[in-house]
Amino acid sequence: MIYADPGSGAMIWQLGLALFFGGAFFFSRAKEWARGIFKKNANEASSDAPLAVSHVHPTTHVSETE
Amino acid sequence: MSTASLRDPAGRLCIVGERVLRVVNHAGVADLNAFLGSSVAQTFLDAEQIVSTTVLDADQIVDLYGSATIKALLADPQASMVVEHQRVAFASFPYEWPAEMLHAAASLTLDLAEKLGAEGLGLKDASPYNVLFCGARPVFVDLLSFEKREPCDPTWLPFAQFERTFLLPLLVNKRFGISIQQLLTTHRDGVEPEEVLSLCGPLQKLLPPFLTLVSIPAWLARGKSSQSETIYQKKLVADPEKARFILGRVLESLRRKLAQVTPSRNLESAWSNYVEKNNYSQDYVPAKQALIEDVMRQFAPQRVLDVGCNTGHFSRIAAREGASVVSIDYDPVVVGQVWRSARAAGLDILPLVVNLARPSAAIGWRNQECPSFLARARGHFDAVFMLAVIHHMLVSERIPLAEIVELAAELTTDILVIEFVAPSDPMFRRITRGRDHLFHELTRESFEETCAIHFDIMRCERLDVTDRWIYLMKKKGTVQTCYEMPQ
Repeated sequence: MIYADPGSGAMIWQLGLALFFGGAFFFSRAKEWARGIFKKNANEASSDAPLAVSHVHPTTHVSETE
Repeated sequence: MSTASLRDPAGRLCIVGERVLRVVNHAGVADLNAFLGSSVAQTFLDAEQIVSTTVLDADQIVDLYGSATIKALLADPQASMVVEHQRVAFASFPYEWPAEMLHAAASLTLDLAEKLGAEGLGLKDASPYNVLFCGARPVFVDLLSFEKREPCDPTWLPFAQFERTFLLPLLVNKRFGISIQQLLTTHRDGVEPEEVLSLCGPLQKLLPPFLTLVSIPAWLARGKSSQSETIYQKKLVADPEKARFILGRVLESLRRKLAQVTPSRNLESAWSNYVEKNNYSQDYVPAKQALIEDVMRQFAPQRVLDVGCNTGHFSRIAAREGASVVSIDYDPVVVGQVWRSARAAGLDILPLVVNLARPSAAIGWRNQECPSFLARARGHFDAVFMLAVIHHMLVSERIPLAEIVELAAELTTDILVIEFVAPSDPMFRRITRGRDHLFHELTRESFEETCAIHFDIMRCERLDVTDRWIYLMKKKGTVQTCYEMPQ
């Protein structure tokens, strides 16, 4: 069916909404970017953790056997 | 040729006998093929939410040349493709729906708009006329409403139309009690925010959902003159992902507004408790029910019209026995209840707000876009129920009995189950409002004589100790089947 839409007020309101959600998109991107940074840091930290344990554990083990 | 699609430059609908064909012009072929090839189309077709459609090949098109109408359409150089749709058993229009059905149609339209966006497609209009009902189930039927979207366009052009044709009628119905019939019979393209604003009180204008649905759009429209040429131009953004994000949120906002105008479940009317709380004995309804069950078992009608269906008690019995039922009543509250119960139970019942004494007229261009209710109903049904209804037509509407019976004979091809209410009945006396003398010639004998012009009376039972009788009649001229009288 052909589109015929004379409702200009609602159209302007939609443009206002689009502007608002455009801003929301920017913030959601920024949030994701920040989350990505923290996640990356957390991953780096967690990938370091097993190494630290492997360094400590033999020492502990040795001291127990002694 | 159907004029239902005359506004559409992308194609024309054509009904040939029982077949529903759509001739698609060059302008519409790419969009239709893009839609039919999408996974959204498959999902909605599988769920029977879009009308089943077959693209006809060259041989099948040649076979259609027997129809002069379709031959003329195919002779148009713009004609490029023919598709065949599954026929919806009984067409109905938005001004015949209760608010619940308009809401369901809106929900389906939004579902489609949301899902299509993910595949780069969209709806180019948002009108309730794109939807029909198969029983109580909404089905999107206008396959030329789909289009390929500009990936960087964050807006939905039919936004305002969706508000006008779905949200505002539902809002006005819910908050001001104006029926969908009153709103949509005279407003093909819905209700403007300015019209609703004039109904609102000063405080109401500032409260949701009126503020964003009515007041702001109406106020913005007043100052539109400087922008009116530019507001409909596409406002593209650089990033398609951003456009999808914005569009998704815009559609979500419409979804929230739709939830705010959901019809209330607890509405009551003068007739909404009639079956449970009538003034008659406990055996009154069961006696009628027994006869309806007998009719359904003996004659197994496939298409039933329940006139004055009230809350649909007898419609449900017929539907459970396998009939496709159209239930009509003039009270939108009870028709809404019928729709809810039929939808919940998955029954093939199409409930419509139609007063048989003032049935929907043919409307639209040349009075041909939407055929009248009677044009669609005549000869469509093999059984018609008129239970506890003819006294309202006789007294309140002043329709002569002979006219009522003649119309019943036009509507049914076979069976009529009709309840005779004598003038001594308490309800009959109440609605005559002191004009009892007008009906002193109405007796069971005169009723039977009038009916005998068109029908053979197969069975008659007094309904308990009331002044009401229920009749099973068979239209004259139809093949008489052996009817077993119950013991």
